[in-house]
Amino acid sequence: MGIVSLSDLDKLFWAGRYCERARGIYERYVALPSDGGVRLDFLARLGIDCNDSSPHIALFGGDGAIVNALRMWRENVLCLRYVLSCRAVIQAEKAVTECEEGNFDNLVLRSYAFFGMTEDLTFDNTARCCVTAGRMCEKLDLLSRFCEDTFAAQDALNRLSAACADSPAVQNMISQSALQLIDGDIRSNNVVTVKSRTPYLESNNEFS
Amino acid sequence: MAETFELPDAERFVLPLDFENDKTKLVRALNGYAPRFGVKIDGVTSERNLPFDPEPRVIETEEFEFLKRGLIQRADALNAFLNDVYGDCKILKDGVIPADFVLSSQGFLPRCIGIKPRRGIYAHIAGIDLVKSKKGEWYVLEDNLRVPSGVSYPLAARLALKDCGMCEFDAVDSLNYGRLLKDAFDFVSCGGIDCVLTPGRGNCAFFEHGFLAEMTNSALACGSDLFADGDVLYFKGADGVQRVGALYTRVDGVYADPLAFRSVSAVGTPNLFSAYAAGNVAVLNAFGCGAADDKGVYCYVPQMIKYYLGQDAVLSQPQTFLPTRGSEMRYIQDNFDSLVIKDVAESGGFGIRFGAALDEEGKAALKAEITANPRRFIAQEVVDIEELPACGGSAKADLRAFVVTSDRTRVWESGLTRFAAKDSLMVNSSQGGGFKDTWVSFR
Repeated sequence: MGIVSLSDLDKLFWAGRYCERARGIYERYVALPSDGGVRLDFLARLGIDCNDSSPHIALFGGDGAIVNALRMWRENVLCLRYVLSCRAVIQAEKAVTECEEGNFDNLVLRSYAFFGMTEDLTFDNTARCCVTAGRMCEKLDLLSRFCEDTFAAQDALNRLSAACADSPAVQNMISQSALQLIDGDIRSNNVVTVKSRTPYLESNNEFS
Repeated sequence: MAETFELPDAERFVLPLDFENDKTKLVRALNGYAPRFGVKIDGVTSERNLPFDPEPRVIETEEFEFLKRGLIQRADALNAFLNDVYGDCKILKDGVIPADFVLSSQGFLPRCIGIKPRRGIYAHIAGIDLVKSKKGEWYVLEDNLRVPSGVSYPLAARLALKDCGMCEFDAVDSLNYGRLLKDAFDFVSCGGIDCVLTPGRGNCAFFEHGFLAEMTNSALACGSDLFADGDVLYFKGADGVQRVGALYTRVDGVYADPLAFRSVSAVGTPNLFSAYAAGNVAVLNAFGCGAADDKGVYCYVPQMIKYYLGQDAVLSQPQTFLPTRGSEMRYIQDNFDSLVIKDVAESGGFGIRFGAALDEEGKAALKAEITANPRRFIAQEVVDIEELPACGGSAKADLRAFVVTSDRTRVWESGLTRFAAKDSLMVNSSQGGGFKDTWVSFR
């Protein structure tokens, strides 16, 4: 695989983020009870207004949040074939094809396969770290939105910090001050505020 | 996106693909690679997976050896021609080819005069289009030396075949194309990384750019990812700036440097040409290849082979007429219906018109265009092209062979077989239609 360009860092980051987003939303949604109110609350936490459509359509429909996340994942990955490998592209392409056919059964498998292949087949260390960073940023965001456990949030933060430590380019991409604030939130069991910090993670500016 | 194909009947397959399920599996496996290509239909360009017919075209060994001899001869002659016209111009001074004919070609770049590319190779990668007539004779239709495209599709098909575990290739596995290309990079590199220059995501062949970058362990760069400083080309990598030793440009030469050539270009790198001219970066294919990519100059390739190699051309060309020659202009005007007219500067199947397919008004208009600008056109006798089974029916097909020149000239032991869209005479990826893998059977 090739050497990643500076201009492709953003695509790598967002490939990781969108893949994690699609998988994270899907896994949480299918675990919900069939209570309509619970599902509407779920969408509200994601900032999705389903208007007149059902929660299911808002997520799984042609223009649904999960399907759109998959498409954005694929669109970024198609530009990164040279550094991530064709094997990774296949996961994204097949995930979208299957979901557009209404088949979401393999979504989780394909997302994990993508992350696994990125770890195993991508020679460029910065590319690997960048995908991981995107993935962990999204993980933190979702954990915060659903007020989930501190340990999972701490783990995601640790892995994000490790990705930054492993690659100077990724360190430059991620706001260190935002990381510190998130660390503080998690230590004080305040995971719910993390989501207000995550928009500032992908920034070279100091968070204030 | 869902793709639908009409697959051939199982009993018509001659090789391992015996079952409907296997063929469907193969098509799905290939689609996983997202082999996109931009197609312009009715004026609208859209990107889609290039349609794939799982039944490969099989060429027997002896036949392919014959083609190889002719292709190597042709590529060597074209490289010698390019060295000559940007150097001593002996072939022009000796009157073998009219000087004004070559110098007036849109592909001829005066700025390249006197500048020798690394190791004297202009066209490291040549895509030579061949057709086989119904009588079994092979003809060269076109030499593509600027940005020959299409090798990635049969490569992806071969990977998909391996993914499906359908058959093994004991003798030569055509997946060695990446090795051939890397050898070419290494042979001419000035020291530094290898890089593929792409116009970007919106280009119709973007899939191939990334695919070949992966196969050759190269960086993939848009024009803005590169810069030239002190006549040295650099790549803006995520981990720092790196010198580029070999640049495989998938941007047409005249757009690769807005300061040297077309200033409107937004896809090139300023001062790239200066770095090339200083001998600090190898560019594949070198600037100026368009002089031999001209469909008019193509008519003189047999003379080039004779002049530079002292040989007769192994491969035939259809009889071709140049409107710049008085007697041939008259022939063209009088025999329009039996000819195909081609715009010398166009590519991608554009600018090709069959005389018999035009109405009276169209014929009159085209004849007037030819009269007004004879240098812009050639006319060829129409070859009755062999049809191959394709997607449930049959279609006219061609073969794009890829010839790679490094320490020596080699022909890739496969090729891109393209078939025309339904009811079309035009065989070209940009015009619709699809492709097959090409197998060379070794005994």
